[in-house]
Amino acid sequence: MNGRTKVILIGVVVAAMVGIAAVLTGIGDTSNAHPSAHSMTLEAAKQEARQNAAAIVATLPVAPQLDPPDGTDSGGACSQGLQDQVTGQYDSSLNFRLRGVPADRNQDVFAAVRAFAGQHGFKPFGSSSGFESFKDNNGFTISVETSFDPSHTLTLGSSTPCVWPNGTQPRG
Amino acid sequence: MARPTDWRVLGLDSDPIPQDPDNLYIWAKSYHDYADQVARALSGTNGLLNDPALTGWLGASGQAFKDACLPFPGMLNTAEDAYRGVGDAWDDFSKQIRTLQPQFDSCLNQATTLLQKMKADGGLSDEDALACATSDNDAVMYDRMHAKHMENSSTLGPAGFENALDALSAYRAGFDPLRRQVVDLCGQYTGAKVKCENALNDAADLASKIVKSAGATGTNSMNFDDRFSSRGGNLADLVLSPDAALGLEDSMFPTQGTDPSEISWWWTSLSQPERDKLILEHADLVGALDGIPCLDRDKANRAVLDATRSSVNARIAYLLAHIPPTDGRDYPNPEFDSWNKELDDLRAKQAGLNSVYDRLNNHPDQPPAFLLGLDTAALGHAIVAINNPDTANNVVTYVPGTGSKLGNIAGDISRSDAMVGAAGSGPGFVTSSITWVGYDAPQNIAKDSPFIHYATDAELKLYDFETGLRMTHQGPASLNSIIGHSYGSTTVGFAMRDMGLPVDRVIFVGSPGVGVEHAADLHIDPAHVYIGAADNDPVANLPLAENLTQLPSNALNALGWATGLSDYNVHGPFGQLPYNPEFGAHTFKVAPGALWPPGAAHSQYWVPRSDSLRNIGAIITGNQPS
Repeated sequence: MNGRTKVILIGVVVAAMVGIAAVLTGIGDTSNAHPSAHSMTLEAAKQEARQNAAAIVATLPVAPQLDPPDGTDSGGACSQGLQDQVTGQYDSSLNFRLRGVPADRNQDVFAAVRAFAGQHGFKPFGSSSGFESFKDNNGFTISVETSFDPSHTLTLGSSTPCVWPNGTQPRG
Repeated sequence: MARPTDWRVLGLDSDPIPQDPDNLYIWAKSYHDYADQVARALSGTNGLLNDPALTGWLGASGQAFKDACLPFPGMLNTAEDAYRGVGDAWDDFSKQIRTLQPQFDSCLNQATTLLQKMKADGGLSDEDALACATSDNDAVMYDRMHAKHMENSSTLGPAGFENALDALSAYRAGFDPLRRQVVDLCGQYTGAKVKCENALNDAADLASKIVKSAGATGTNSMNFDDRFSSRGGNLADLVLSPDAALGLEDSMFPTQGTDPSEISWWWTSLSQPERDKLILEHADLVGALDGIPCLDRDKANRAVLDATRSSVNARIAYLLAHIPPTDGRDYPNPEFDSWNKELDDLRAKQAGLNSVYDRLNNHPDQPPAFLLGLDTAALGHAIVAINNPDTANNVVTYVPGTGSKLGNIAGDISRSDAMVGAAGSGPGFVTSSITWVGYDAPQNIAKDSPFIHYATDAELKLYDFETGLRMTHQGPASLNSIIGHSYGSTTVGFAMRDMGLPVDRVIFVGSPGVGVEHAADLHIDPAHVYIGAADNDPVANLPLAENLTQLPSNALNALGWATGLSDYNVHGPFGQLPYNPEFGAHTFKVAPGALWPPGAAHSQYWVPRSDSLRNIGAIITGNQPS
């Protein structure tokens, strides 16, 4: 295949799969965006994620120590679309290591998180060995997972959807 | 005053203490003078080594010079001790001699007086008198006296003979205490002599230490040039004054294309003050070098970031204050267009610089971030690490694809944060994720992404960066992975295919192809090649040719892409699509992704709590994905 053919091919591919309109308008992914993103600030969303985590911890069969108490945030700027453009929205993704949970109670913790999800409108979002996550209709997610480090400590996760930092899309 | 020379009367063949104390004193003074001179040399050497002209002499020769000089103060200090020790020994010995000699001489004088009396009173010859004086008993004396006076003619009568014998016997008894005193004095003399010899031996030992400290064993042990050369110094540099050598620093920088291992060696060879000076004065050069440790590189690039933000902000302010006139002008207006283009470009870079600054400085609730590269050439580049890769157990480099640039880096940095979060952390278990926007990526998926030169141009940069990570890592080797997204996977694949990257695992997500037909062609065990492809990601599921050829030809004509399909084969544009089983890699679980708007699923591999992100976390920590 010569270089000219490659160029032609990619153009065709883009046109066929993406659609000219999408490319030109830059319409992107909204699956992780908050349905009412125009009204929730990042801090408010983060507070809700913290509350979700605290509510889950309150239902656990063993009382763990949260490490760190306020969680480690791995969130940041959101991007979307085929060209990965930053949107101006941000999310927050809090992780809490659950200290003090005996290994033989891990399955009880998984079951408790699963029960909490079912009772609070979170639907299954992801699952694999040592990992379960759930997502609600507003785009908040929760998870429980076995850590990859040799300690295999459980980690509780609670994330926000992508929201505008001040609650509304900046003008201009 | 001349000393006596005939010591036979005391039973000695020669002067038992022949040294001249005045000469010994002169020797002592000479060595003390040497010691004083060495002390002055030591002071001067210390002053020289701390002189700014020498401390500021940078580079390999400067360091070699200082290293070669390093033994000097210790050597001189030891030499001073040795010289002073010899001087002290001779001085002490001289004093002992000066004290003992008169006592020896006094004994000899007293013995000589007795001998003269024996000679006179006994009427004996010198030889007979000496024999009588040194005999062990009176028998010798009687025989000599009898032979002299009784066997030959003599004025002494028998009574006189007996009286003379009694006198001589008394004189002879007078020698005994003198001889005992001489024995005692000889003991003192021997003690002083041994003490002096010991001191001289100690000094000799010190001298031996000087030789050893010079790193040699022969008479050329003090050869400075040899030691200077052995420490990497260039002898030609010795003809320059240290001040002149200061001008060498610019040429010290590794030339373009220098292997990161050589850069790492060079950096290690510098002293910390030299490194600090280079970071201070050439932050842009230091910050861009692969092979320099993360902390030093971060320090340099933070300085670059501050300076760049200032200059970009200033330029934007200038442009806003100098808007080209538009009223009354015919369109197009090239001047305004140029002004507007520059302003847009600067504002994009300003946004990127601000997001980098924000991540570096304003997030104490997140793992620390380090700036490993920054420049504003073309669309701008930046390399940002979450956690220190030099000390982490796991290191992953994320290479973004179409659309990546300095102005758009915030979203890419957040993906590195997401991967660190997915990897988790524990005691002694840290993962570093590096956003590598170190190349000129295509910006438009339709106009730019079909071309391969963005990938080929990045190969060496990516290779050097990954090699540099290996060179600067501390402790046991880290598990190094690389993840390419979209066109970034193509970039990674081309580099692996053509150069081989020093990584343990590779992940391709949303990949249009990585330049090879099979994972085995990437210079890595295919078992360590992982693919994430969302069902609804159009890029990872580029249609096969047979489908493309069914597209209406008028639609292709409308797009201007209507020719050249005849030789198209079943592969993607950059080789076999990685998600195809024929590619021979592991495909891990990824959610299908959103169907609308088109392309949404292409950017969802890092969605929090997703199967995809969990699996990426597993791979980069050495675990198996689901």
